[in-house]
Amino acid sequence: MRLEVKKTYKLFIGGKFPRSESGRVYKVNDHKGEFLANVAKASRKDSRDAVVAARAAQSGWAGATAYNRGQILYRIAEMLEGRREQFVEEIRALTGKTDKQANLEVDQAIDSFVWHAGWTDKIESVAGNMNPVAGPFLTSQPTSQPALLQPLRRKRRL
Amino acid sequence: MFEYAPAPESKDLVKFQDSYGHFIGGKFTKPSATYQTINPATEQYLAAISHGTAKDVDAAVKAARNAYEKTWSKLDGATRGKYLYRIARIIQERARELAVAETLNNGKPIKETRDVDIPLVASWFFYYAGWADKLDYAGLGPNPAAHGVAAQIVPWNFPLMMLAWKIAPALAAGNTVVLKPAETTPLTALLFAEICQQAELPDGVVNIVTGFGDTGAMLVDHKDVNKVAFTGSTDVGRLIAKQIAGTNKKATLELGGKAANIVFEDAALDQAVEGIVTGIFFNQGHVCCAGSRLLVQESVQDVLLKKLKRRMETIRLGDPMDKNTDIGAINSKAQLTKIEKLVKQGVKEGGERWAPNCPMPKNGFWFAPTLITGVSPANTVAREEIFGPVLSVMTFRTPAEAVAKANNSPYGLSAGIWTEKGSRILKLADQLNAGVVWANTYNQFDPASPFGGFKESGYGREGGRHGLLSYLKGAN
Repeated sequence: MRLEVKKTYKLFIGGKFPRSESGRVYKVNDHKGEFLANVAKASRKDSRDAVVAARAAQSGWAGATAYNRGQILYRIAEMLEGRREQFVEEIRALTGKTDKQANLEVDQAIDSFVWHAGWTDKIESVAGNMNPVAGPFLTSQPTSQPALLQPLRRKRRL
Repeated sequence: MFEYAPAPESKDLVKFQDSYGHFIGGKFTKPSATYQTINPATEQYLAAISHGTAKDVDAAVKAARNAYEKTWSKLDGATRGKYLYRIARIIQERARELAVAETLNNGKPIKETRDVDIPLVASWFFYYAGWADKLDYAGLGPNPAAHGVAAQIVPWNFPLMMLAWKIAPALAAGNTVVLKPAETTPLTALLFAEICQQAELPDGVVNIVTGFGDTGAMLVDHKDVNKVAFTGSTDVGRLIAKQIAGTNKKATLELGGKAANIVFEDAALDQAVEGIVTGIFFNQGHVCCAGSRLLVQESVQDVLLKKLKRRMETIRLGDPMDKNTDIGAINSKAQLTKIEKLVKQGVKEGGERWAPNCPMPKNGFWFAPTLITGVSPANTVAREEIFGPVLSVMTFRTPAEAVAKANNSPYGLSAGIWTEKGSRILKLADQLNAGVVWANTYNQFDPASPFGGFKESGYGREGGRHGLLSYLKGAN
């Protein structure tokens, strides 16, 4: 019999997977109350590090082109689709959902990423008043000289 | 001038079949009534292409109608979007192959197909994929409806890019399509048909019928077509408008242009020179929005033209497959003849012709980058679209004169402004009758930006939310 290799769950801060600086973990049990994993218990300092990392990355992310942000969100959807089995299993173990329910949850997560991937370069044209690549130079212009044609004889309406 | 060692891209990246049928209902038909498509840079034969008949057109429209009624209109937007995302991804994966195919069949430099055409094609599908499940936000109220079957006819200057501009929004909005590529450049459209198969797009959603103008006319004329989209010459656009007058068919026409590229004396001249070169020599000048009329302020004419000529002497014309090539081959013999005729006419009417001394390859169709100076506003080369690497130079003294001269054209597709003065850019952009105005840049495209013309440059917009509306009911 092959012995299963268990996963160590850690934090995700600034693109790295550190353990908590506090050295603490807490137990996560499955839906039957049995031990599933030890998860890093983040400290105040870990939270602070995470916020610092997020703040440092914000200007770069906001400065990336809308197209690029869309590509990255779509890439997440692609990766999630490829690893769906793992997520289905984890949801089932944790919550006790059926296979169908767990699959539906993963479907919805993937589709949500796809939905938002499409929004990055459309927010301006729906909620704003300019498009994201042209400058705010142009306003709507009339068609200049419309030729208006009326039938010669119109029924008189009083 | 620097010497460059040859740096040819490999032709092995793409393999064409000997002959192609039409792509109808998800399958290729047996090739029939074939004609040859060639590489305009070498005049070498590439493949045999079927010339579409009334029967082929009818079969394609029927397949599109069937797919519309039975599958495509029944799918939810998110699923349609996912098919488009798949297509976008496959185009990204096969980008180099498509770039090589486009260069072989069109004659444009590999540098341009690789860095401009194909990335834009992918981004167009990616952008409109995102719209498919967001039609409620298009500004037409909830659940806007598609037209049904769209007939789409694209030109030879950007074969695959024009296909993407047409097919991506049409499919996102829920239409099915029959597309006819230009007779001289059908190969990337046929490769795209294979991509539809790889993406498992339901049969009949995209149909491709190859052939000449008569095939296109039959497609536009077909009774079961709801929407016509055409990019090409103003003459053919007029014929199409006449053809569909009195029917319920909606049309988007993206036609010719004779854009003014206006350079003020305060502009960064070296930067402007680059912009002028990009504006007119990009894609051999086969660009409907090319900056083909240079309007330069009189005070800087001499220094600008000196810089421009020096820059033009460094342009490399030759093998489009070479990664260093700036200007490739003219797409066809007919186009070359047209350019030569118009330039001769311009010289006869008082223009002065200048071109750098650049060696021409023996085979294929070539035209050196050319300046025509001393052009009066009435000169043929100031009025007619040449669609080649030919720049007509005129001067002006005041901003008002620049606007008057720029607007003195039956066309109104695009314009360029070169000045360091922001307020002048804003004012001129408002006064120019052009659908697109570039400031201190030229020939920039993005799927999120609507593109289209004023006056005889056509009607309707492609790209952005506006481009989506062209394929939905309830919008003009």
